[in-house]
Formats: sequence, structure tokens, C-alpha cells
Amino acid sequence: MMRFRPVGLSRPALALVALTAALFAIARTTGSGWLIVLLSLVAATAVAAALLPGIHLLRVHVEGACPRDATAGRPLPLRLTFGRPVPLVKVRGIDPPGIWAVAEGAVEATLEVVPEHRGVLNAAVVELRCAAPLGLIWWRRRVEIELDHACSVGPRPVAMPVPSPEAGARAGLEAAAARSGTDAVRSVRDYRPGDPIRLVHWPATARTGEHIVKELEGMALPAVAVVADLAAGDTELAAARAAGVCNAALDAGVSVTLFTTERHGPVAGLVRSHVEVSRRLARAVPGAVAPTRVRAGTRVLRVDGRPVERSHWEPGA
Amino acid sequence: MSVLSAVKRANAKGRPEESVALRAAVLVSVLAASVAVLAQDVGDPALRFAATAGIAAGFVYSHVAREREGYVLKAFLAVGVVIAFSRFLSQISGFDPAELGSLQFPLAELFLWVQFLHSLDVPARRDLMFSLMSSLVLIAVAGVLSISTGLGLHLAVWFVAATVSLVLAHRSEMNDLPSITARRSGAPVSPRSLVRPVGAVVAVVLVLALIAFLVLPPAGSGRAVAFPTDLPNRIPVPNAGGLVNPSLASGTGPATGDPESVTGRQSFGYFGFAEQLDTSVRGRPDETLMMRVRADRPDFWRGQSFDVWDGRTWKVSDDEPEVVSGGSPLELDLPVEDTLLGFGGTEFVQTVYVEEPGPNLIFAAYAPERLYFQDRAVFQLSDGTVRTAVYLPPDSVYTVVSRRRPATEEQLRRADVAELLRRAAAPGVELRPEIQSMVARYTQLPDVPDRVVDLAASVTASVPTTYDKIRALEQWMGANTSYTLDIPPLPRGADAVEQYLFVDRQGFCEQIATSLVVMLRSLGIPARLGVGYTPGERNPFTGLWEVRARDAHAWAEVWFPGFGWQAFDPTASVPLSGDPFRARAGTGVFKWVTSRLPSVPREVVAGMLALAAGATFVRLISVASRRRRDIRRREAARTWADVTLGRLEDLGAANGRERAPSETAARYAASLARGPVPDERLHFVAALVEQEAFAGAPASSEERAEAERVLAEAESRR
Repeated sequence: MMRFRPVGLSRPALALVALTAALFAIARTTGSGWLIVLLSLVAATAVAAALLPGIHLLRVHVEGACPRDATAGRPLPLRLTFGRPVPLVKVRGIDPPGIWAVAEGAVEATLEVVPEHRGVLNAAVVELRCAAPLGLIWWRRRVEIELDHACSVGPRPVAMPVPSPEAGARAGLEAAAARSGTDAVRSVRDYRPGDPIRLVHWPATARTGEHIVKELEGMALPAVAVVADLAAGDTELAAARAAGVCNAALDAGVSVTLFTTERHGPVAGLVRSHVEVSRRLARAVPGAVAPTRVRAGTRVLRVDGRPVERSHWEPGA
Repeated sequence: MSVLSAVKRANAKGRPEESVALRAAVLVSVLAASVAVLAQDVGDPALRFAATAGIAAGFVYSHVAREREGYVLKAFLAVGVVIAFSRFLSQISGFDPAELGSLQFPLAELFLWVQFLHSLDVPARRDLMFSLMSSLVLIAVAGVLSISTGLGLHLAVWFVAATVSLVLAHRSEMNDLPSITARRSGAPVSPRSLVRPVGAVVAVVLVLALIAFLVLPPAGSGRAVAFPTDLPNRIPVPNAGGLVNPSLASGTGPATGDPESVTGRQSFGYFGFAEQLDTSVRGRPDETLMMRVRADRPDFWRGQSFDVWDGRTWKVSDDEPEVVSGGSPLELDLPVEDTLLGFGGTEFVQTVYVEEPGPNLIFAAYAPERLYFQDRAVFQLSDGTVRTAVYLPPDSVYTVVSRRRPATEEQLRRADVAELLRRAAAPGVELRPEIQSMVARYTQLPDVPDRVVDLAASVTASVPTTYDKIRALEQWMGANTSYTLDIPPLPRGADAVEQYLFVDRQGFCEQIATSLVVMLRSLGIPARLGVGYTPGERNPFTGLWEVRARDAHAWAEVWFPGFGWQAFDPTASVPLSGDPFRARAGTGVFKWVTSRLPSVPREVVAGMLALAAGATFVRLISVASRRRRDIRRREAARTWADVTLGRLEDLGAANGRERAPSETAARYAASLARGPVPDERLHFVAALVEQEAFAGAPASSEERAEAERVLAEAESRR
């Protein structure tokens, strides 16, 4: 791919070229010296119009930064930092893509791009186009920008039904709640609808102004294991469904263990928030994935990207 | 896509242009171009009004009505264009395809009418750009019509306005897109913010244009398609076939015989443009611009020649000019001497624009073959001289196509007339009668002083060819006489040539050329005295040779077998007809410009240069000190943690391990300690940096000193 080149002549530029040729022919046959003067001016204008945008673009130095997390299909603000006040250019994202916008005179600008797919963005490609100052001939330059930190682009979650954990696990939760006065506190977390009132951690609630509940040692949370099988069917759809299932489960207060395959092999682990789900799925790649070391009473859900009629998610072994 | 849909799309109404600044800049461009055309005497009062006030009003109306569909207006404009075109067709009815030049003025008027009509309907940016392009066409039309430097002012205004228009149009185009910087989308552009970019681009374009101007070939080197002619009035000269010269006080005026009725002033022309040339008369033609000549190479603009010499005065023996009549162009007879031994040659087109009343001679390079002239008859002498039957008032224009036989030094050496005559003298060989009569006519001499004849013989004794004889005589005169216009009067009874060569040893073109002709004739070489103008000064902008009264000149014409009459002159640098003339369009532009600048005393120039140098020096010092101040200020603003982290980074970079942007000081230090800088104390340094930078707990002076010592030691180990 040619990263720096002229991209085309505008209509006035084409007209200018045609008129230049005509001027030359008329000057040669009529002997009019003024036409040569005019021709020199027009030719010089065309040369300046051809060279200056290229010089402007060559002098632009771009660095970029973006948030650590993003969602495929949703706008992502890409913060561009130019080495010096940027000339009149139009800029758009190529990877991730975006729409044309104008930048001029600033050292910093925020360009909106929309990642089409999930993944981990370490770099972005933007295209700058410049025809300044005369607007006759456009030059383009594609710049690959190393981001100052990676951006995890998670799938756009598909709305999924809340998976119900096994009955035994639910009973364990209730029992643990009943013993809450005696067990040691393992951690605290945000209140979720359905949490027993006795588990509310009142000092933390008072301090933060939000309802905080205790998680006790030995307390068996209702749990699901989500196996994201990106190799079966549409990869992106599988990831989106997995995100939907995980998020729904987390919202329902269910402990979620997510099984995926990443570049270096299978990964399994508890996910505690939507962000964690998004980051795990951003890194996930198609590959063989199987639930291992699943606690007893955990319901295993296999999610893939096959058509709905072929059961896009189902209890596993 | 069908043609119809393509046409529809091309004519679809564009989004109305909101930028008043862009509209104003395009208007200035269009007006500058229109006025430039009008300044060439184009158009009647109605067109002049339409092309100025009408266009301005049209632009205002277009802005006001930019949102309207304007079907009625478009219909009106269509009718207007049809009327303008019909008018154009009626103006050129009976147009002679051989005279393309006659199309120029009707075409210019048509362009102006169309420009006016178009100005009423320029709602969108695309329409404005179209207007801008058509203004380029208009200024080009003005360029074709203009023969003076006055167009330069219009061109400068047009160029700056067009550049501003392009810049503003581009900004307007970009304003259609959302902005990601602080600049508000669609915000109007302040004129002040434009000064710098427009100034910069104008400067860049001017430099590039100057380079192009110096590189491009001059205009008019191609085949001519237009042969302009004009004759403002037809006032016959009193002596048909004779010569009048209103530029001389003794000349004959058109109606009353009073020269001031034509020129309104005393003599300013050359007294050699008369029936005879008296070399004892002293005069000095002035700076009056007599004519402009459009030609792609310099040559002598020859008026006439003299063949009879009496020791003081040149006369013309041919007193029976022939009438050449017919339609334009008038076909002239080539002088018989030039066609005796074959005369091929090339065409050389020259258009003469008369600026001041002068003699009724057609000035052109030798030998004129066709004359485009707005009179039905002229008079031609046997030597190729062409006299008009009418006065040539200012603004007269005629075009002459001359036939030139290109000749180089080597060719002329080989075409030796002396050799021809020597061969003809052999028994049994007889020259053709035309050559015999030509030789007799152009070698006749009165009683020439012996020492003149002896001088010619001695100077040329050792050179073999006619060409070299001419050059030897020129060199002798160059070495032994001097050129000046201030020579003493010719004593009564003195021979002009002898006086110049042996007594005064100074003279000007008449003395030099006469001496050359006389000495050549004394050697038996056919020669005569030609008079006319030197090429003059080439105006690099108009491409025209500007010929002034002081450019009037006399030179020697020498006959060469097969090459006809060739001009020789040691005082004017006019190339031989076969010598290449390599000029660029901008050749001589610096000399032309500097010669027109007001002369400023050297002390003033030196003072200004010194002032400029001083101001530049002060400016440089000021910039340097400001930069130093900024650096110091930035250094002072850096905290100890910044400085120490910087040293740590420099240390790592020097050891081949640069810090990644996302890497913390602690991780970086750990990485260095594990690898290129094996010093565990770097952890301590990094911890201090992080503590001071992020924990808000300044390190103690002892800790700082320790950290600096660790870094210094690590740096010294490098």
C-alpha cells in the first residue's frame, strides 16, 4: 500500500491543466508575450498546488491514544497529538474506520472511530488528506499510530436470557447467608437485587453511600461456566453471545467462569464485571476450548456462533 | 449512466455558497480580467457598463438569490446567450479564414457578454469556480490583445484575487466537514488570518513563476495563424509613390504640410528616412517609442536602401516605384538580385504596431514577400523597399511575411562573389545580364580618394573570401576608429569616408556603414547602404521589440551569390540570418526591470543595505535570546523527579534500552537492573522518583543526594 501519494486532481485543477496547454498553444501561434507570463503564473500555481500539500503532510507527526476498553460497533474516541499545529487537513480512521473530519491549527484533536470487530488494538491507522492552501490537488498519507497502551475492543453483547444456576448452588447461597453472623468476611461487593439484607455491610454502605454487601468465606455462590466456542459458526456472533450471557449472569448475581482460547492457549477464569468480560472476549480467538476444573454444581454453558435453530447456547457436560 | 442523467447531474444545482469573502474575491478576479479586456479598446459603452457595473451587480444578486431555483432567470440567461452569440456571428460574417486576427475583438466581446450573463447566476461554489476559470480565459484574451506593459497591473490584481479565491474556496469546501479541533465548523474566516497563508503562497508562486518564465520558450516561435492589421484612418500622402516623414520638422504633414499637425512636436525621427541621406547632417533621434514589433527573433527592421554615393550623400537611383495592389495580403515581388541564383529561404512573420507617426515606409526584415495591410495598394522599389500610399498614424498595424535565406559564416565564405566575378572574367564565360547590371549598379563609385582604395586593398590583401574581407574591414575600423554620436561637422568639400577613416577617426553608423560600402565597392564587391531600425529592446513581458527613434540605423548590405543581400554592421549586435537565436521567454527580464527602477544614489543603497543587515542581526539576537530564555524557564519548571527520571532514561538509552511510554519508573529501573545496568540501587532511585512524583512526599536531601550519586556512578561506568 502506497502510504504517501497524490490522490487526484480536482475539477478546477483539471481545467487549469487544460487551460495551461491552451495558453501555450495560443502563445506559440500568436506571439503574445503576456500569455507566456500568464502561463508561467498558472503553471507555477499548479506546481505550488501540487507540492505544498505534500510538504504539509510530510511535516505532520501524529501520535495517538485511546481508552483501554471499547466495544465493537460503538464510537471510540481516538486522541491525536500532532507535533505542531496541524495545517488544514481532513482526517479519518482507516483501522478502525471513521468518517472524514477537518483538523486545522490544533496540536491535539479527538477523532471518532468505530471498531468494526473485537480484538486488541495496539495501533490505529488514520488517513490524512491535504490540498491546502489552494485546494487543487490532494495528497494523502496513511499513518500507523502506535497507541500508548492497548485498547481491548470487546464484542457488542447480544441480549441473552439469564442463565439459571444449578439448584444446589442456589441452596448453598441461602445457607451461607443464614450463617453470615459467624463466617469471616472474604470480601465486599456492590449490592445486587436479591442479596439477603443480613449480608449488607453497613459501615461500608455508610462510608460510600452505596449498598455494599459482604461475601463470606465458605459461601457458595450460584455459578455458571461459560464456554465461548468461537470456532463454531460465526466467530463474532459467538463472542457477542458469550458477552451477552456473561453480562446477564453477572447482573443476576451469578458467579461466572469464562472459558476461552487466546493466542497462547486456553484460558479459564472468573470474570467479575462487564469490563473483564469484554477484555477476555477481546483477546479470545477461535480454537478448541473445554471446561476444566469446574466446581461441582456449576452449570456449564457452551456458546457458539451457529444459527439459533442449531442451539446457540446449551448446557455442557 | 445515460448521457441525459450525466448532463442532469452536471447541471444539478449546487449547495448555495455562504462565504461572502469567497464571492468578493472571485468578483475582484472577474472584474480585473474584464477591465483588462476593456482596456484593449474592446466593446461599446453598453458592453463596458455590463462588464463592470453589471458584473458587480450580478454577483450581488446571485448572493441574495442563492437559495432560489431561478427558472425564469435561467431562461432569461439562455436568451441572453443566444442574442450575444447571434451578435458575434453577425460581426464575423464574411470572415476570411486567412485572417484569424480579425476574430479577436468580436470574440473578446462575446466572452465579456457571457461573463456578464453568467455573473447573474453564481449561487454555488462550483459556479464561482467556473467564473474564476472564465476570468482566466478573459485575462488571456486581454493578454493576446495587449501590446503594452499596462496589462501588468490588471494581471497582478487578478492573480492575487484568484489566489485568494482558491484559498477561500478550499476553506469553504473543508467547512462542509465536521471539525475535530477547536475551530468551529463553518466559522467565517477572518481576513487577518488569511494574510499570512495567502502571502506565503503568492510568494511561492511568484518564485516558481519567475523560474518558469526564465525556462519557457518565448511566445510566437510556432506557426503564426493571425496576421493583425489596422489603419485608423486613410489619409493619402501628397506625392503618391514618394516618401514623407512626419517625424522630421521638414517632413510633410497629411493635410497642411505642417508636421506639427501630425506630431504636434519638432523633429524626433531619423533624417535617413528620406529620398537622400546627407552624411554631413548631424542629428540625434530621441527616445520616442516609434513602433513595437512582434517577431520571434531580432533582425534589422529595414526601411529602404541607397545605392548612389557621391562622396557626401546617398541617393536612390530607382525613381519609378511599382504599384502593388489587390486584397490583403499584398503579394510583393522579391528583388531580382535575390532570386538570380535561387532563393529558397524561410518565412519570417513580423507584426508592426506603429506608436508615433513616421515615414510611410513598411519596416520589416529583408526581403518582404507578403504584406497584410488595410489599404489596397502600396509602392515597391526594385530594392525591396515598400512605401505606403497613405500616412501611417499611431495605432496602425501591419504584418509582413519576409523570406529570409538563412546564412551562416561558413555558407557565406563558400558563396564568394569575388570568386564568381573572377570566373566570369575568364574567356568564353559571360555573366547573366541581370547579374551584370546588378554588379554595375552596386559597385559604382565617384572619385574615391586613393588612400581609401589603398586602405581597402591593404587590409584585405591577405584574406581569401568576400566574407572575410568584410570582417577584416570591420575589424580594422573597430581597432582604428571610435564610435561616437558627437563628431565634428563635415568640412565643405571633404569626402565623408576619407574624413572618417583618416582625419576624424570617429563616427557613428552612417560613417561606419558608408565607409564599409565604399571600400567593398572599391574591391569590386556589390554593396549598398541599408537604413531602418535595429531590433530595439525586447520587452520580456509583451514579447515585443520596442523600437525607439534612437534605434534608427544604417548598415551595409552585401550581395552573396545564392544568398542575396546580407546585412553587415560592426556596431549593432544583430545575428546573421542563419545564426540560431536562443532566447527564453524571460531573457533580459532583470535588465529590463532594473533599467526602469529609479536611480538611487549609491550611498542611499549602501545605507539601506546596512540598515537591513542591522535589523536582521538584531532580530536574530532577539530570537536566540528568547529561545534561550524559554529553555531556561522550562528547565526551571522541571521537578527533581522529572530531572532524575530523565537521567535514568538517558542512562537506559545509552545502554540500548529505551523506556517505553507506558512503562513505570520502577519497572523500567528493574528492567535496567536485570539487564544492561546491573545495579540494584536503581530500584531505590526509581522508588524515590515515584514517591516524589506521585505520592506527594518529597524525598529528603540525603535521599536525593544518594540517588544522584547512584546515577552518577552508573553513568560513569558507561
